[in-house]
Amino acid sequence: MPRFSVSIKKYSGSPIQSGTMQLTPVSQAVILRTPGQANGLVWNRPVAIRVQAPGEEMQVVPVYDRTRLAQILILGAGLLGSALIWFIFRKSSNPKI
Amino acid sequence: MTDEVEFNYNKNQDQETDAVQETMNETLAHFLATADVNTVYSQPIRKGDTLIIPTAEVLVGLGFGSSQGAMKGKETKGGKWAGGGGGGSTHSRPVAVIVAGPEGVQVTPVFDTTKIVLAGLTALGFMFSTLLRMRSNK
Repeated sequence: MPRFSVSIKKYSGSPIQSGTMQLTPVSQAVILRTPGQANGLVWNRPVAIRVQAPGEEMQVVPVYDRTRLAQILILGAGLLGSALIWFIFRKSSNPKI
Repeated sequence: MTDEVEFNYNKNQDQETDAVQETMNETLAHFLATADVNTVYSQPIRKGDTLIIPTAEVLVGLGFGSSQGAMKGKETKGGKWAGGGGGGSTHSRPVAVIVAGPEGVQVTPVFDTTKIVLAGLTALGFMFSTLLRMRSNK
């Protein structure tokens, strides 16, 4: 029976030719295994693309998840706003004499 | 005669348990295969000099369980029982589109407006509920 484990692995795909450039996709997978016979979770996402042009150094173009970033920023702003409201009302309800 | 029937019965039970185990192992192998790079990068689409690669985030979760044991009843003594069950879920969402052409490589993000609007409404709801609670405590 497998134990609880979390592993983060980076995978590179086979190179794709585009004109003179060679593109190699890179992904990152978070694999979570929980005790049991066959239980777990896999979260796989694209992270970057490696670009190799002839006679040039290899470039790494990151792939950002803008939707996730926007979600985190909006929810963070909501939490911060709530904390600010709580702080302001707490101060006004307990004025110092 | 009875022994022979029981023996065959147990043999079938073992075969069924093996089949369940085999199915679980196959499912687990498919599950672990989702960690591969080809699940998030689609097959490239070529249009003239331009190459388009759609990308997506993939989330897969599953849980399986099975058990077996010996029967204890008077009539069923010597027999075996086996059972199992499981479930899983797959979620996929487009993240970006990679466009490679003579000008270079560009990554165009894909915005999921519904998710962003839902996050905004959740944040507003959270702030509004805090405001109401603080005003009622005043």
